[in-house]
Amino acid sequence: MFRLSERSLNFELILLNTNIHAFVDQTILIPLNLELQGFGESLRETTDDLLDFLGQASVNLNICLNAGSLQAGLVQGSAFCGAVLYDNEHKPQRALISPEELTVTMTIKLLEEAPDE
Amino acid sequence: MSKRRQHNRDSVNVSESFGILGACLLVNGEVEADSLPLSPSNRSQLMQTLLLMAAHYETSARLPPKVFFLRFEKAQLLVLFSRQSQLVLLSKPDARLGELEIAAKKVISTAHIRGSLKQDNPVVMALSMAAKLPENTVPDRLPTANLTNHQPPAQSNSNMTWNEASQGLENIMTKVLSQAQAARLIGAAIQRKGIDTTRPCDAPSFAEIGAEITAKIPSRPIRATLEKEVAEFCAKIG
Repeated sequence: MFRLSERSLNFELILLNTNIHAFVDQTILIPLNLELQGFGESLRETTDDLLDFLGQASVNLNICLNAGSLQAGLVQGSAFCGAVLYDNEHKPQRALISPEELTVTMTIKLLEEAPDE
Repeated sequence: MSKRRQHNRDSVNVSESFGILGACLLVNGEVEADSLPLSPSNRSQLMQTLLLMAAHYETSARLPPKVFFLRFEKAQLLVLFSRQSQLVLLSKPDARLGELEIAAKKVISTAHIRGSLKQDNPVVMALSMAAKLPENTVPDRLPTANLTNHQPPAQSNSNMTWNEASQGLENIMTKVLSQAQAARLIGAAIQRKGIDTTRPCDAPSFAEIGAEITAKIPSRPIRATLEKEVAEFCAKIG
C-alpha cells in the first residue's frame, strides 16, 4: 500500500480517517484466515482499520525497538477493545472486538484459545 | 556495599525475574523516571510514535486511549494511560504478563500521588533502576517528554512571532515535504502545544516542534541535514 520509507510520513494521514472503534454489544472473535461471515463481515471495516493501525504502529515502533515481527496487538479505550493475533507467518489470524474493558492478559488468552469454527 | 547500591541491585534482580527490560513513567507531562534501554534517538522515536498513536485513537474514538499492547518476537510493549500519567513498560516476550499488567495498573492509577508507589512493585523497581531526573531538567528526548502536551507557555525574549517562525520551519521542511503537508504537520504540532501564534516565538518550544517534525523523516542523512537547519534557524530566534 505504501512504501516503507513513506510510512512514517503517512502514518498520521492514514489514521486520521480511520474508524478504529465499533458499536458492538458483546465480545466478538473474528477469524481472519477464513472468509468473514456474520459479525465478522459487519465488522470488516473496523477490523481493517485495526489491522492498519497496528501494522503502521509496529513498523514505526520497530524502527526504534528492532524487536522483530508483530505477534499480537491491542488497542483499548473506555468502551472499546480491539486486538489482533498474528500467526507464525506473521499474517493476521484472529481479531477480537469488545465493548468491554478487558485485561490484556484475558484478551490474549481469548485470542489464543478461540477455535476458528 | 551501601544500602542504596544493594537496593538497586535487588531492584534489577526482581525486575529481571519478571522479564522487565525497562520502563518510563510520565506524570503531568514530566518524565518521572526512565529506565528504557534505548538510545536518546530511539527513545525519541518510540515516544513520538506513541504520541501519534494516542492522538489518532483519540481522533477516531473521541476518547483517550487506555491501553496499547504490542507483542513482538523479541519484546513486548505495554503502554498505560491515565488522566495524569502515562507508563511505558518494555519487557521480554515471555514476561509474566498477568502480574506485570496488575503491577503496572497499580502504578499508573496512583503515580500522581506523591509517595504512593510501593517499592515492592516490580514496575516501581524497574523505574527505580533509573535515577530520578532533577527537577526542571529539560529532557533530551524533546517531544517525548510529554504525551499529553499540557505544558504552560514558555517565556520568550524574541521579536519573531510564531507565524514567522512556523513559516521559516515550513521553508525548511518543504525541501522534502509538500508545502501543504509541511504546513499541516507544523500547524498540528503548534495546535497540540496550545501555542498562540500571534505571540513571540520562544526557542525551546520551537526546537521541540522542529524535532517533532524532523523525526518524521525516515532517511537519517536527510533528517540530520534538516535538524541542522532547524537548529540554525532556532539560533536566530534566540
